[in-house]
Amino acid sequence: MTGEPTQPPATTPVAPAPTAAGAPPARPDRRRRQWLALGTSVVFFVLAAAFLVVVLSAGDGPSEYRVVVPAGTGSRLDAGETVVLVDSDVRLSVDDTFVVVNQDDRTHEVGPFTVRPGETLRHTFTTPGRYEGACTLHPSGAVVITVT
Amino acid sequence: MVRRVLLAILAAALAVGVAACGADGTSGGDEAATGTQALRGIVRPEPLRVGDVTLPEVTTDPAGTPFSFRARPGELLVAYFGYTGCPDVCPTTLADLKVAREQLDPADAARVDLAMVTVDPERDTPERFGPYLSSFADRYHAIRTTDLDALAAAEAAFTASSTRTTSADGRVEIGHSGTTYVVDDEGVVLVEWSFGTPPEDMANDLRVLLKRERT
Repeated sequence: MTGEPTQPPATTPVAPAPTAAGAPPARPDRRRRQWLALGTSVVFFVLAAAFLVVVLSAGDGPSEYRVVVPAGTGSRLDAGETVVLVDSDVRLSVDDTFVVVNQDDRTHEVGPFTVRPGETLRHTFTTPGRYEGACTLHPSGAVVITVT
Repeated sequence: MVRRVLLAILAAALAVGVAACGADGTSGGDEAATGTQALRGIVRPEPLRVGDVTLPEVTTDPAGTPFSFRARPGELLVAYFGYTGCPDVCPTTLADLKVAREQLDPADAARVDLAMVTVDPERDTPERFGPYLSSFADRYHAIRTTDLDALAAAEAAFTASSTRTTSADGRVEIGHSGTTYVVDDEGVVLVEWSFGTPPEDMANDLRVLLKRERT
């Protein structure tokens, strides 16, 4: 026997042990990508919900200007009382609604609106402009509604 | 499992995002989407009914023929209370109405009639009243009564009003409400326009109502 070098014995790769179902297990990096995508979606959902809350609670949506004419208002006017139930100069925005609730027993003029006894009149202004008329509910006798 | 959860969250986020975009108030497409159009004038929950109001018309032959506030079938009648000497409200309103009719298709414009009731019958003689209206419309009815009680009753039916005062120097001052009324063939007031209503809004309402009258 002489000192000739010998090659180490060749080794063959050993395949991982199969799972019980017979399929190999998922690689760790694929699972990490799935959880990353899930987390991103959750964050996106939370942001979208927060945006919706902000939009719905924003204070610049259409508003309502409400005038209630109590029962007996006409009698008070007949007695010479000064009655002020509405501003003489009303400033509204497009899509704002003007509401007059007449609880009195007589018709009242409120600027461009004439409201019968017991009637509730609602009007949404969809066009900018200046709307005016006589008024029984303000000492000036007139109301101007400016819509911008 | 993770994939199903992922898809569910993405679907929910998409739904929230769409809802947020729709909550900004710019829903002007509702009219086109539903096929119905909104009236821009004043609509009462219980409309005025004026079909039984009858006053003499001075633009007929013979003058004084009773005129009832109902449109002809398939048409609309625009009614207004004013006077020829009005410096601002009346000429502005009648001019706006003229512009509104010009914005309609000719076939629709031909289905819009006009009746003006004078609240100053003493000075608005037939010789003065008819020519005044002819400058604003080619089709009109000049309504005039010297019976002030009948005039007041007609105004009340429309919730219109007028006042007449004489100043110390003898000048007569007339005050009146400035609302315009659109009446159908049953005498129902379908919409009212306050003073200041733009012609475009009038035209819009006339188109909407004429379409309803056609069906």
